[in-house]
Amino acid sequence: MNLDAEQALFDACLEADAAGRERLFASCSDAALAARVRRLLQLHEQGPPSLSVGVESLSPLAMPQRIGHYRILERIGEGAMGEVYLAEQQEPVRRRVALKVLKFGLGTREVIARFELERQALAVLAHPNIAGILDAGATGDGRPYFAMEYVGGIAITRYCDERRLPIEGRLALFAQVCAGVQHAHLRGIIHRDLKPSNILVTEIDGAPACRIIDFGIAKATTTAGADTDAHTRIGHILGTPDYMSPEQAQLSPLEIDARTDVYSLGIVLYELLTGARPYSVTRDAIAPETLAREIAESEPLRPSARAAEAGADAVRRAQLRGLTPRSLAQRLRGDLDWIVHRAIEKDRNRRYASAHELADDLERHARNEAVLAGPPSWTYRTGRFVRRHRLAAASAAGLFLSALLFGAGMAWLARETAQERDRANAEAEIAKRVTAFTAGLFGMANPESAGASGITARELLDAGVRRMEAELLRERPEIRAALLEAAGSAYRGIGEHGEASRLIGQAVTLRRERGAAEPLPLARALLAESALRRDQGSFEVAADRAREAVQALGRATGGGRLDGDSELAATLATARLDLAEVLRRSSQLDEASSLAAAVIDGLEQSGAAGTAEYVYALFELGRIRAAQDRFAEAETLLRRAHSMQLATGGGNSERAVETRNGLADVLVLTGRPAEAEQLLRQNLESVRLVYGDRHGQYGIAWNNLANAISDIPEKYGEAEQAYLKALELLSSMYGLAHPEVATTYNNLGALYLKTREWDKAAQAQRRAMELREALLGATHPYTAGSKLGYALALNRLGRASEAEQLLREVQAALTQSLGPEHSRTLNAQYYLGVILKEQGKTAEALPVVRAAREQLARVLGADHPRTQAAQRTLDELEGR
Amino acid sequence: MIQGDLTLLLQAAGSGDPAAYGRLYDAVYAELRRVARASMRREAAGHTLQPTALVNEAYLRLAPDAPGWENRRHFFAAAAEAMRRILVDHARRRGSQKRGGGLERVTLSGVDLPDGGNDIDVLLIDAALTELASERPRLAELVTLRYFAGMSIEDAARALGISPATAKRDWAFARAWLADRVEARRGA
Repeated sequence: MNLDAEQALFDACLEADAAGRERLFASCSDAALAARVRRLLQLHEQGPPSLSVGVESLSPLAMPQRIGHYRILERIGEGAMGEVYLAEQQEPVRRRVALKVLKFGLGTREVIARFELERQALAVLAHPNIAGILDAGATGDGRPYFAMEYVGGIAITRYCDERRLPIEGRLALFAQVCAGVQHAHLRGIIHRDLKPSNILVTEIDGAPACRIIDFGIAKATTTAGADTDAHTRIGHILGTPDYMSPEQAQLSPLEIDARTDVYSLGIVLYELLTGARPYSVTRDAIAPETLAREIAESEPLRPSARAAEAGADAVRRAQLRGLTPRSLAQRLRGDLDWIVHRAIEKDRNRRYASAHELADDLERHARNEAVLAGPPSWTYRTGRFVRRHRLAAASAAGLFLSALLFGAGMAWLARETAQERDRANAEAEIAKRVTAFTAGLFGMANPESAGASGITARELLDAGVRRMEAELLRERPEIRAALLEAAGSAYRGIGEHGEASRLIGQAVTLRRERGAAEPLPLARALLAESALRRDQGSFEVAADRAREAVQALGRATGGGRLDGDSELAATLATARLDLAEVLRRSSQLDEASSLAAAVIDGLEQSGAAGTAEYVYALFELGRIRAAQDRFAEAETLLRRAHSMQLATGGGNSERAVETRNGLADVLVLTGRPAEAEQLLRQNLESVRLVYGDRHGQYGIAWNNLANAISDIPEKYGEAEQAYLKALELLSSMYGLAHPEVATTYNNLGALYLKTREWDKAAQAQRRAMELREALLGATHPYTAGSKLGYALALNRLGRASEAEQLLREVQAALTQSLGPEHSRTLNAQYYLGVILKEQGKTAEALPVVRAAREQLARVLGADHPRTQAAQRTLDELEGR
Repeated sequence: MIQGDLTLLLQAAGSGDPAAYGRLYDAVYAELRRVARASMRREAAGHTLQPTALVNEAYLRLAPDAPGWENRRHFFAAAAEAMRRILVDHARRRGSQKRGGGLERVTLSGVDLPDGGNDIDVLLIDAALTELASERPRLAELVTLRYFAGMSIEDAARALGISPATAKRDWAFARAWLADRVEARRGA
């Protein structure tokens, strides 16, 4: 519909007489437009527009015979958004589908356009707990419709009540819902409108099975952005504001992410457990302001308190669960109260980050393990303590912290349920010991007062470890190993590599002594050591440890097949990817590539395409492809990984930061520095939020940003400042002899080459070259890279013969490490040619430059700036 | 809301402050709802609302001495939106009370339609207007001002900053377009 054209013709016709109109229509090349305008004129001339419509014609009984390719069988529902029909599809396969036809006024074209954007993503949804969307289109009268798999079930709440399912049965069904939602989140799809009527239960061979319907519809029918009328936005969900998250109800909506669905899941869980909703939103809340306020401010009653309410209704609700109000309240008190509370936190940062986390906690509850949710006050205190010390999300320290949270929860559970203490397994024992250790830390630094006394995370850890080591000798080896590993990873998290190395090394030794009987803990310790060595730039040791982990797990899973124990399989995938990463960094790209590709295949075949390991695999293969100069493939892989990370609420995670780094690299290498800069500024913010502004990671983020903008001449000054900032942070964190420090010197030197500050360039590049030679070896591509920069600077300083000699070394080193046809090798070759030419050695230079140009054209393309520069040099040499 | 506040709000809204417009809308909405409730109690039998009369009544109650056309214009723009919202919600609620969410016709009489007092289905008009707004916001605004605040062509033209001739052409086109959408819905 083109209203502008329509109105132009309409207006012209109104001015014209009958003959004039016919001329206008005759000269109109768009027949459909002419027909539309004829109809509008007719309506205009019918005098008073007949806008009155009888009640009958609006009646739900008026049912179309056909919509699109679908034959309508019956009407199966009617809601705030429109009607739902059972229909039959005849082509290309005969099957029953549910057709959801939206009301007028939802902007057909936009709805369908938004659906088209989502269609590719929706197409990858394939999960037993999700009813897929098959198609979308417009009805004859222009209303949007969606066709989806037909599910003949009933709403989950109704099903549970009709079957009088006990709490366990309800939780089992709810776990299916979480699994379906998680599957979609990992593919970047948020539901946005989860509620019981969108979660249907059917019975398959007597067993209940959940299917979630309407994935993708809410997104297609919601206009995001602050410019939309809040009425319109909220209006379409007006039927069910009860399940809407605070951020959705806000007048200026935040970007919706996975945690929005977690909130709705929490409300559904509340209702499944108690039979009531945590709060009811006033139906009369017509003004969106009121609605938003109610959702943001209503304080939900704890499920157990709701169950214990007096009255006949509470008795009936408990009976539907085979309990009395009292016993239901007892059943819900503790774990389930906390889990629900955590899922429906108003502040989404305090919610579970994903449906998976929620499901995990419910599973812990089912296994009588401590739940992560824990008593709110405790997590709150811990959270505050940790924030103050910037220890929390430091990725490796996160491991330590989760052990800490886990341990504290365990201790609490043990106290609460003394009768179950007998069942406490070795893991619980370990957790208790870790708790005792961390409780010691807390004892020294009261979370409420530590901020004032200014104790650093380092001091806290040092004191804790001294105490721990004094007691360690009395402990069982597995407990000692767990404590050592946790503390070591915490040190790694704050960049204290020496101490981390000592502790993790001890943990690995202890685990090795226990050997193959416990492959998982052994592998984890080995991977922790591998990651540490990788941080330190000792790639060979890192690779050895990762290989050892892969082998230990491979033996346990029966020759490395991935269909065994899921935790084993997941850890094996991680181990292989860790190995691939080390190999990539040490430029053993072929082996890295086949490892990562094999992991992707394995995960896809075992139905794990969507797990965190899968995202890691996409990322890793993407980085490898970039290192192989296969940029288009790299970009696709990295973008997929990134959107999956965003969808699971991990936008600030270490992995997401790394993914953006990788993506930015590719963008810079393919000539899009401005796009890269955007991603990297985002990283700066993420890293500062997570690690604080005195952390090595923050230095790395500055270095990365500087890299991207150093391709933009107006930003040279800014880039220099960013590099210096990075150097200051990194060298004060890590000391000088660290790969990241070397890298930053190298990059700074490269910038000075661009700004033609040859002295400074030579100094920085030489420093980088020497550090790298010591850390990585003389033939490592990184060392060669710095040497090349040093050579170019020397040449400009008039020391051409020294430069020539260095460049020959570079070319030899790169040919050995990367191969003769790698773009970097060719680059070095080109520069060698240039230096020869400048020294007047034309005859020597010609074959070198010519070969470089030909190979560069083949590898990077004839249009690439490098290729063209080589071409120009060649032209000059040939006297053209 | 006391009168002085409203005058200030009108002025702030007039100077383009979106937050002030939001508060103005709230105030007008609340007052219109109050007036509409009272009016419905009076005329319970037919559930007939007279938007123009209601808006004028609200204006007189809220801002009897707010000076100048500019203020009037912002008031009526907010009132038209608020009125539309009230009527739609009223129709929806009535519908849902009766048939669990189905549609129900609510008639308006006395709307300032140039061609006489036709009955209009509020929900259909609302739906069609929303659709129109996504294509041509100005046309939808014009219709809203005319239907729900009872503005004359001339006043609406001034409010939208267009010439009366343009407003007249827009109005003719929008009306035909809406009639078409509503008829199409009837055929569904």
